[in-house]
Amino acid sequence: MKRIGIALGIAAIVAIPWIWSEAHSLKLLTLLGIYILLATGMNIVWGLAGQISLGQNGLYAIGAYASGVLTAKLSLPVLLAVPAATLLGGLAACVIAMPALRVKGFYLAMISLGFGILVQTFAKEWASVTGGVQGLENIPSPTLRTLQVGGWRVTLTAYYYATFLLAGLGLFVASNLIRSYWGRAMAAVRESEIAAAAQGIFVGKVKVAAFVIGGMYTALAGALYAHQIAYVSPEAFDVDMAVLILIMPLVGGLGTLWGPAVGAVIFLALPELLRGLWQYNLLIYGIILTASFTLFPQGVIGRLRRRGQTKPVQAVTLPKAEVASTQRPMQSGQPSLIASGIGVRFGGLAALDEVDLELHPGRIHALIGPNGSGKSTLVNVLSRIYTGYQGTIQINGASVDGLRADQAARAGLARTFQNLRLFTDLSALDNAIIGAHPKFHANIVACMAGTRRAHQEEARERATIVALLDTFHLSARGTMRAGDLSYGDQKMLELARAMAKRPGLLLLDEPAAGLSGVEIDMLRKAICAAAADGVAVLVIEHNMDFVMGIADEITVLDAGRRISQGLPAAVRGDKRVIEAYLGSTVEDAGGEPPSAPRTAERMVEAPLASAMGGESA
Amino acid sequence: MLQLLVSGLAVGSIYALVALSYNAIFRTSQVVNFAQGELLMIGGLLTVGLYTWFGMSIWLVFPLGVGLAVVVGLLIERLAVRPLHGKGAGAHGWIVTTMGTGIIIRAAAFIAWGSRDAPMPKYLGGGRVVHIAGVAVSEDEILVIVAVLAILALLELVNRYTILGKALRATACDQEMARLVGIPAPRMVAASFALGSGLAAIGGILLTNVAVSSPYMGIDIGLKGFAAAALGGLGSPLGGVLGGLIIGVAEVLGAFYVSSAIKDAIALVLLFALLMLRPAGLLGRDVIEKV
Amino acid sequence: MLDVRDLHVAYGGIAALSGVSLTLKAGEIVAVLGANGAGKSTCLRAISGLARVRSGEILLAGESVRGATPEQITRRGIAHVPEHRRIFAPLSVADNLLLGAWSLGKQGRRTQLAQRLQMVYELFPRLHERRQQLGGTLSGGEQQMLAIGRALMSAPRMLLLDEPSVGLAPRVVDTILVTIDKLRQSGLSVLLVEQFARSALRIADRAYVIRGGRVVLEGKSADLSRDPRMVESYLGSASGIPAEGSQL
Repeated sequence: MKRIGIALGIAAIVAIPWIWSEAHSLKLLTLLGIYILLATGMNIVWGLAGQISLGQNGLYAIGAYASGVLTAKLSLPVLLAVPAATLLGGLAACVIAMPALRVKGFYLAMISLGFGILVQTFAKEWASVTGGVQGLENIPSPTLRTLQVGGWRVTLTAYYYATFLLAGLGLFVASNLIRSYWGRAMAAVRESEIAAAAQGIFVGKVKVAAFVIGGMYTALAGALYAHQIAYVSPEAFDVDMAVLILIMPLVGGLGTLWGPAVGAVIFLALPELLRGLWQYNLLIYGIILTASFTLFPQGVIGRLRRRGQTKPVQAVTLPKAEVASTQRPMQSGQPSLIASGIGVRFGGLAALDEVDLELHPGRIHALIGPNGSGKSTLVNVLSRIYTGYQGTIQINGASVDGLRADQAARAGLARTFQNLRLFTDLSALDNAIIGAHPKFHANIVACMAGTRRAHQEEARERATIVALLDTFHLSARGTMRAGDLSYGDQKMLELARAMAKRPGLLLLDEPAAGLSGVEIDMLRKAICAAAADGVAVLVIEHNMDFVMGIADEITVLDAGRRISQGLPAAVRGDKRVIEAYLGSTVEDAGGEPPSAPRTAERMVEAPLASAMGGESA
Repeated sequence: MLQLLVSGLAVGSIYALVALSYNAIFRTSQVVNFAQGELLMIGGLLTVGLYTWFGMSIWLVFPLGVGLAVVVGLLIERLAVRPLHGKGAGAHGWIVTTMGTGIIIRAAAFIAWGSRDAPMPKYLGGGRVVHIAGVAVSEDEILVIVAVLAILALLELVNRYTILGKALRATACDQEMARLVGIPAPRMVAASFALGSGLAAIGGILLTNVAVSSPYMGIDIGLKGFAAAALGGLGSPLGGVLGGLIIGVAEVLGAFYVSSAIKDAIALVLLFALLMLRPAGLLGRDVIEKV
Repeated sequence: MLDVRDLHVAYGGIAALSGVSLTLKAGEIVAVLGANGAGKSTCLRAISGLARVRSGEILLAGESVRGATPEQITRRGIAHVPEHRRIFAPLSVADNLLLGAWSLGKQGRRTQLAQRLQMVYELFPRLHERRQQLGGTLSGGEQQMLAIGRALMSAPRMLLLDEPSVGLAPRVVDTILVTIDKLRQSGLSVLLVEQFARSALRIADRAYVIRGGRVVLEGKSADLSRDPRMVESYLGSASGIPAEGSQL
């Protein structure tokens, strides 16, 4: 179905100049190709990677002026100038990318807005280079019949074809990117930066990549624009242009492949149809933007897609050998993880105080303790989400104290979260495949070009992950949106995602919470299977039946300190543990009247005694 | 030099006022209103238009300008911010919707205002010059500085000593808990939008007094006001004022000693440097996110 | 006075409460106990209007309050002291208490504010000493006192107290619970959610134990504190096999 559509589209594009051959129509259609590039570039930055940039008009300007100046003033050939302008756009995009690494979305939006305005201001002021407010004239162009490539004069028709060729190439590359693991990584960053880092994705690098790629698309569009109309002036690159670049992919379908193209068609046609004052157009755009998230959060293409049926993913049976070729640390008896003297303070409060922990391959270690005792904090420290702590942590003998969360993930540490952090808008299968991110090695250019190697790697990992999902009984729902799954399925998916990277260390934060009996059984089996494979497992849980049934060893935390550690039976009988949960000495049961000073003293004595490590009376 | 300083402080005071207006809204709703510049613009434009072309007195025209901005601000809260509460949209959907309202306001203003240029109204007959320490300083500029300082003082008083101010601070601190003591948090958020809009409109009136008015004047100042607020630390009113004054003085000095072209870049460069070095702002506090 | 019937509350996709019923009579202290994640806090949040109720009834003095906003419920005389105290840190102690009286209305504040302030300061003398201090600078125990004092400012008929003991030393917890007990004499009813059963049972008349979103044990506190099933509902049964009545 899609192939027919694409073929028809290509046929239409080729045929159109024969039908409408006047200059005006050709120029308008060429502008369509330029708009498609603009919208697609914006889509990569915003739709795919989730970064709101309101300054793409600045990059558009940079591309236009760069190519214009290089050809008009420095007489560089077009075939050199346009790529140079494209690269310059990518470079400039790095500048906008830098704040994105450190601050929240609205700061980025503001600063990118400022960037766009600043570029326009520079264009006005730097008259010696850009021609200032008068603009840059005499850019080689098919319109003026001054554009020459290799000795041949380029006609409007030829320029139209060239533009659409580039637009088509842009869509092809975008398609490859979206489908590759790089594109998935960008989507993951958009959905949840913390979860993305926990899968081994270097968030900063991904953001910069998205900006640079989007910047190059935008600058290329600018260069093509400059050569088409032969003259650029600062007015063309004002805030209203930024709005147009924003609204095209939004209305067409943010994050989809064809959405930006649809948006380009709509917003090229709209002013032609309305033929009114430009400000009336803007009024409509403003209304569309204001109502956008209430009316159509998905855009046109997104809407269409939602209605389609989801096909179940075919479970591929892999030969046994392939499934077994997963890396596991050898059961050498050496601990997988040693944490010593971990201390964390939030404000004045000590969330953790001198906590020690050792995890061994193939053993399941449970971490329990009352509310607020610091269990999640400890897991966050181990998985490198909190980096300000005292003490040391070693994984497989190597210190990890300086590592980022994504580096720890790539070193073999996987985790789940207490409050689910799935990539809700992505499919279940995509969620799981992202878990295997560290296993992908093709570089970004190869991914965008769609090389054989990149495709093979993709297919191989996909097959492995499908098999993995099968063990969790999720493959039938593989193409479903993760946010639409049942709660139990979502928790299982998070576990599958963690297992996808074939980790040596697995940290689970309340995996059983909210699960039904059947699901808890499945969970138990999955955890035991992992341990049998040699994974060192740490489980935080409140469900004591579950813990007692599965744990090889238990550590108990209370108020940030370790108060007990050992075999399950011993811990359960430990009076200090019972006190920590229930609140006071065992023999005070009996409902004595409160507010008698003697009782109050007794209530205080016992915890003090236990804190000093003595035997409770 | 004193002249430059006073000019810088005057410009900076207007930035400070805009920063205050951003902060008023941000503190209770965690929303940065991308239409703030446009609220300033319509406050200013209505005032200038009614005064210049209809000859109405300033006692009528000022409240009308502020009133219009307040009404529009409340509409923005109702139509562009409240419906998004809780919905995904990357939790930043309000960037797009508030920006959309800004575009609507700008386009509507352009349609209504046309392309005429209004002369600077000089509401107080101004243009007069005062002598301080032997140096000639524009009276208008002194007025702007004094006006903004007065507003700041008034805001502080209300914030600190009236129960409404305390309720607003409580809502800013913990919206859910505020509701539990009976404070109608949604109405507090709307009230802070009204406050922010009013402040922006006053800024607009002050600005149109000394600079050219046009429907596009909101874009630049909206950006610089935000830079001021961010520089001082979003959520800190005093920080916003500080940021505004710093930017104002830096701009005037830069224009004089380097070149006038650099003026517009200064706010942005400062903001950029800030975000890279100390995102929390000069007076802001780093917030640790609980995972 | 409070009658909760067959309450079902869901968060996201999870069923947090699956049919919880409980009652609270005037002047009673009732404890709601259970391990973490069992649904205790959700009960309180449903009653005070913070959590949406899927089905079931909440009756206050015979009138349904299900679906009312938190502001309205506070005006009806229910004061909720949530988990982690949540005092307004940038405001002073006195201001926190002042805001606690918000629901009395301007008229009500004029007539009653002074006397309610005096009552709270008498109950918690430490707060009077620190009345100009910023809330964020108080110790954990003082913050808990402030949170309770703030709730009392609105002259409530019923107090919902959510885990006052979290992060506090046992002795401090005792002082606070003893104070709560004193309040009962003025006719205040208290619904006390606690993780630490023993201290709660000490002052409560009756208690409910919640597990997996359902009530699994209920009765007089004297009986419950001797019941061996109490330990089980926190630490599970010795063999790892689920005890009866605790289907998840």
